[in-house]
Amino acid sequence: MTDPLSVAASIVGITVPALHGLRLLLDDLQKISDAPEIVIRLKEEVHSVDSALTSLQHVKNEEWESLGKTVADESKTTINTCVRACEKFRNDLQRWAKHSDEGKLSWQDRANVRFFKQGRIKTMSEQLQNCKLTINAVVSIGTL
Amino acid sequence: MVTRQVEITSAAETTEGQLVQANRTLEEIKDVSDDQVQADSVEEKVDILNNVEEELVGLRASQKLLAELLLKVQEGAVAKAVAKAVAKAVAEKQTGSTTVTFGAQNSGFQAGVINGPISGLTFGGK
Repeated sequence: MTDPLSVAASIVGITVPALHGLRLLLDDLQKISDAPEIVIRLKEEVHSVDSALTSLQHVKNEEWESLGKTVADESKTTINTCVRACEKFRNDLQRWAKHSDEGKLSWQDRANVRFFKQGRIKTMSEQLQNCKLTINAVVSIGTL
Repeated sequence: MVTRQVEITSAAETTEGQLVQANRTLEEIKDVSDDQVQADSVEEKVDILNNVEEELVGLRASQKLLAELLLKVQEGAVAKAVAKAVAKAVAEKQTGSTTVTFGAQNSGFQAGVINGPISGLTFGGK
């Protein structure tokens, strides 16, 4: 039988660094002074995932027990995927910023946000949206 | 409970839509030949491919998770309905409050709750 305490602890264990990663990404995004709409929407998604993960930390041991192993395992996969996506996206942002003055991403190259960059931001936004929806569903059912 | 079912179903549908879209994006990017993109964008194309593949991993995990949650909610709804029916039957048995209405035009035998065999009934002619 699964130890419910270890499930809750392991979820918190991956949620803390995930929240840290989200906040680092948010810091980077907030540094973009003249961000286009697509980036503004991305910031909103980051905020939503932050709230969802914070709520997830409050799911109690017995609630995880009733949710079952599959839900716990897939929750971890969802969070880990989100963390990796945030890290990769931060790397991309920093790479893009190298092309701007003083290493700062001013989005002066708005016209150069080409197919791949737009696709990249859209993919990131969808990943965050998916993470938010899934985590909120877990919290909603777990705390019934 | 029904609201939660709608919530989960809606999330599952959104995830399904994203999966379809991500698969389509993957195919679109694969279709763009390296000759068509500038030299410095080839690396970006590979990155995007990896990112979409990663997104698909997350979406499939979500799909599995949401299906499991929906099952939990449905099981919970059934258990709640059974518990309600049992509670009602127990309450009726305890209070003896079963009401059987016999209309003026009815004839024969009518019973509310029967907890044992019925025997020894005799009916006279009308």
